Amino acid sequence: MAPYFSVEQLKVSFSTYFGRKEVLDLDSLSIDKGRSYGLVGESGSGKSVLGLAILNLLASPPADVTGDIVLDGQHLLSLTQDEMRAVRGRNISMIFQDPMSTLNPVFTVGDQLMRVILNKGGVSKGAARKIARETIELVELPDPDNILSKYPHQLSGGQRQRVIIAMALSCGADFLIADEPTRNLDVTIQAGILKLLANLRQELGVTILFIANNLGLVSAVCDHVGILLDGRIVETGSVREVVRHPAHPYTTMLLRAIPRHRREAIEAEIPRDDAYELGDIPGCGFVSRCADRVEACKQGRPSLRLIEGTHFVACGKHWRGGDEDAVGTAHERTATPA
Amino acid sequence: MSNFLARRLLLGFLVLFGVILITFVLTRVVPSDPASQWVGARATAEQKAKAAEELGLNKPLPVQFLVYLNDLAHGNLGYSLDTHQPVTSELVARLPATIELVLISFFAATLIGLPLGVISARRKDKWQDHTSRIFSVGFVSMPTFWVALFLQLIFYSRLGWLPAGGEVSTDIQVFYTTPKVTHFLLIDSLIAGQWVVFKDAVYHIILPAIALAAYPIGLVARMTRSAMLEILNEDYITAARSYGLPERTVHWVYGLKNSLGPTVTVVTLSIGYTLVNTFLVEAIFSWPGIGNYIATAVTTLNYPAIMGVTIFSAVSYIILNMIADIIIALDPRVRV
Amino acid sequence: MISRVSVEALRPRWREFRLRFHLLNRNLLVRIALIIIAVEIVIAVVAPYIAPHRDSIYGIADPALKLLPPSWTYPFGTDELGRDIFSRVLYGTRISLGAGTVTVALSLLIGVPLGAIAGYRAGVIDDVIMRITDVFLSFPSLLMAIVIAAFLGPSLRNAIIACAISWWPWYTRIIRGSAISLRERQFVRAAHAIGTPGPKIVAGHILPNCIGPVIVQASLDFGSVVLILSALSFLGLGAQAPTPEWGLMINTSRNYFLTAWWYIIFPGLGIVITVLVFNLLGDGLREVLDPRTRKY
Repeated sequence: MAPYFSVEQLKVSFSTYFGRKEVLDLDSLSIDKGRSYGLVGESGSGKSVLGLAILNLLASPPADVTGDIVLDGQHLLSLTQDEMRAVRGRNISMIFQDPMSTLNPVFTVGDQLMRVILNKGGVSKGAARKIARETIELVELPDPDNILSKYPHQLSGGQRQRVIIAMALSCGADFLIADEPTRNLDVTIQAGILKLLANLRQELGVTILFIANNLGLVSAVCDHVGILLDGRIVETGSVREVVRHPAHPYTTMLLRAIPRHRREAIEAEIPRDDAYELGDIPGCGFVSRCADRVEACKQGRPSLRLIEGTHFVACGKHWRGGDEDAVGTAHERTATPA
Repeated sequence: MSNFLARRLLLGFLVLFGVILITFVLTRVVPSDPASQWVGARATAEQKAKAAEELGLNKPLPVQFLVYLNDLAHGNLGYSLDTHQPVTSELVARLPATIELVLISFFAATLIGLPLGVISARRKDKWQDHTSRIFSVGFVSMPTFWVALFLQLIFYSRLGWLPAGGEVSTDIQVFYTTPKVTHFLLIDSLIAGQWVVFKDAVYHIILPAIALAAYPIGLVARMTRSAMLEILNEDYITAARSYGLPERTVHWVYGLKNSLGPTVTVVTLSIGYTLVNTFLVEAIFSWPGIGNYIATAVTTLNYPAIMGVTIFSAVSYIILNMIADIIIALDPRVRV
Repeated sequence: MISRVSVEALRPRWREFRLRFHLLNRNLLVRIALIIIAVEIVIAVVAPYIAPHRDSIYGIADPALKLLPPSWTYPFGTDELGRDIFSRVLYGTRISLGAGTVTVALSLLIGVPLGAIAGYRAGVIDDVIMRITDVFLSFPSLLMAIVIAAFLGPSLRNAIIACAISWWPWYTRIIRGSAISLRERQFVRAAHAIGTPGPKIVAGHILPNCIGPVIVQASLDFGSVVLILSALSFLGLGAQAPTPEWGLMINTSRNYFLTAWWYIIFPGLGIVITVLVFNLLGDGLREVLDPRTRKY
């Protein structure tokens, strides 16, 4: 059965004054209906671009997007802007990471929410207001009428984030892209938002693509996880598989960086070896920081290989003997990640 | 909010006082003989002395100033040296004509300039954008007095299509008397059903209105365009699009409202310029407004008239500035 | 003397500056504008030497030649005193560009230091300077110019002074804002901590780092300044006869309006073209400096 959401050979690049820079190069990623997939990467890994690329909101001259994105049978990248507009909100919605800049400062929350609801059509103003109120309640904000009448700058950070989630939910989308939704929040509030997302998944059955820079966050909310390094997925599998048996050294570093494991944070800081700085040489982006590097790691970027079950990894040290061709482009998946 | 208003009001009064003081000093310092002007060229020395006495010119300057302030407080702006009429009533009589011109140019600026700016931003770098930008940068680069003369040259002198000046043709004026309801000729003639008068008035107002409106239209179009472009790069616009809102809404509702702030600011900055432009246009087109009044007053050194107009301009300038400040303060993010 | 510390803050700016200048050139309109500006500057400098009828500039030429329409000898025609309008318009470039530069320089000279001091010192000095600035800002600039011109007598010099006096508050505001945020930066605090005297900090650390946007604003303002100066001359409050200032020429032309169309048109075109190219330049600068509207 085809997955609900899948991405194939997605390449996103930007033309800058200094040349063309490739930001994302995803072989494949898929999510089943009702599941949640977490994409973890550090700054500069390209994860912030993925959400906008899926929604086709990247400005086209500087950005170039090729590949295939399929949602519920629809090939999104082949849609015209008008067709895509119909899909946005109704089928896919995005939860943004900075609610202060993604809420219009001169309109009240209620105004903005109602406008989105009314835009989807088919409801009267009164009904729209009711939906708005219900959505605010859904995100666990008390006193919805009060919230609706406020301007974004009059709310606290946590409230704003919930409002952003409400905005994403209000159109009735089944597929949510959560772009680092807790990035700008205190740790305690973070927990609340994560719990909310988990509850929403249960109550509404939405499918979630969760983008984050923290493996700990992702393991709290998601079923599956993918590790994004330098624009490519280097490891993917169920949360249990990846966290218990991390295969890529980068994953190991990410795990070690999770404070609650109380590992020595120093261990996580593997010193950079500038002799291995790549510049434009094709090779694994982690090579200058990797303690397990082999010669072949400099020469090419490995593709995802199956380890066990649904656990895949793209790493030089996991090549089985005989595989000297490091720059493999052929897929070797034997099973679709479920 | 009231605190804010109070501060602005105070500042306004300060400026007004400064203006009054400076203009007063100037008109007493500049060599002229108001007494002689009052009684005319063929008056005797006795009559002149009596006039000087009546006008209070013999009192020491500070006393004269206080007397003047007192008069001001009562709405008395003095008496015109030429016509011996109270300046206040002369001003009031000419006010509607000026307001007509200013209002038309203001509406043109908003009704033409704003949409032009939005369209320009929406179709950035396409032909609509380029045409609009060429026009608006052109309008903003042309001195208004020159535009006025240029229009007169083309449409009156060369083509003979439109009249050279005045509010209404003299022969129409002789034949028709329009009852003054609003004191705006355009409206009054419509009310009275005098189509001939109305048509004539329209012919007369076209050129001065265009001349006056050119600069504000260009300014508003440019400001709106650049404000919109900045806003269209904001995250909340991307977010709005992600919820499926149509481009129409994104531009005309979100974009426009967010860009009103900077646009209003810039337009206020140009108020002073527009004020003087109005006077220039009136002078060139012999438009019977306040501008023309001060133009003649300056040449004849009719100092009560000059003072009157200066104070009036300063007051309107201050009021307009305050209105602009209030509009800016309407932005919910501004904490006043 | 700019210390090493603040140059560190400046260094990335040099690279960016070169990048921006290169980008500036890519826009066709801006390139045209820059060329025309260069041409105008050249004209302004050599006008006294290349004008075909040099005595027309100030002296009275042959009165018998008055009000001639454009011809090969007199490309822009002659005025009421028989003077060649083409030569006078060329010379007018010199006057307008010169007066504009002096005005802007003067307002910068007054406004920038005041703003830096107000921003850096804060407290009472800040308040006092800001109040003065507010009062000047509330005054309509042209009105102020008229008043000053009436006071000091009409002349181009006084018009420049009047214009500069009404313009400086804008720059003060801008600089003050930058100064306030710079004041908290590490390198400023460090300089203060080692005992660098106040004025030296302001001159060597604060000013170099916030002067950028002001220079941009000043070039944007140049067009408006030229407009206002010509308006003042038109009113008779600026340049006086026989100075060949464009606004003044337009004023004189009014008397011969019906017969001598060339007299109005050509000086006016001088103003329009000058202001236009500076506005275009300003547009280009603004586009280039805002990283978000860049096309790449």
